[in-house]
Amino acid sequence: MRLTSREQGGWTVVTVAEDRIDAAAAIAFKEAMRQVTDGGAGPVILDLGGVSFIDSSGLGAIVAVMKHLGRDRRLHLAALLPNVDRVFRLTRMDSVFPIHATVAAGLDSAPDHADDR
Amino acid sequence: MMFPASEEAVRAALRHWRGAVTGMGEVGDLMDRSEIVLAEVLNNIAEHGRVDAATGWIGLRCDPGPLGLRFVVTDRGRPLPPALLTPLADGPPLPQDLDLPDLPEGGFGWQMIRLLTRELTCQHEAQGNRLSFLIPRHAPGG
Repeated sequence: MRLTSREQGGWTVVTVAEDRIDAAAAIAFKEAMRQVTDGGAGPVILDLGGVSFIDSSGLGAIVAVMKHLGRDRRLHLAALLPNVDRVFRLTRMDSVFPIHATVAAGLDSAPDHADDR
Repeated sequence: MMFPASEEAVRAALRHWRGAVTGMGEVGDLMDRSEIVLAEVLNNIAEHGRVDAATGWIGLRCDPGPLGLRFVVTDRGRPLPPALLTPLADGPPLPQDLDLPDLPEGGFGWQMIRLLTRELTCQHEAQGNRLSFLIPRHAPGG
């Protein structure tokens, strides 16, 4: 599972460099997310702009990452492609994550108030 | 098509299926909805140990028609969970009402299958399971 991360404006931005987060990739995704976020601070934006497909295992892995990060490091999502967005809407998990159209839009939202939205 | 009941083989099968139906001229939205359902159905067979190594093959048939894509999935494993065919009375609990530690990390699969399919039927026969469903050409809200 290829992830890249960078610190920007108090955020950790993690970009997924894989086409799919599916059952075959879910465990590797969780482990890679822990590696790139452990020891950091502030909220996290997960850039899904390169991910064309997630299944329920991939969605479960993203939820597990959100739980692992906890309340103090809110997990935001950005740049969902249509069929990824559909999975979040069908399962109503779009109500759980702050979702931004682009990474830039996410960075512009105030991280200190992330829990208010 | 036939392929082994593993997560890696399911991924490869979905890629192969996508290429095949693209060649039939099917539209992207119908394929996108179908891929969500297929991934859930096929990975459920692969993951839950319902098939053993000797019989661990999945059969997939996809027939385009005027109403949509009709699928038949067969495997030689143990019966599918009966919960599959039980409709949800009021839909799933609203996740925004749950505390962070209580958020579900699973159970999304059947939820999406029920929302995206029509005419879902499941038969357990001596040879194994036969699951059939229709992905309608026009999206039912999702």
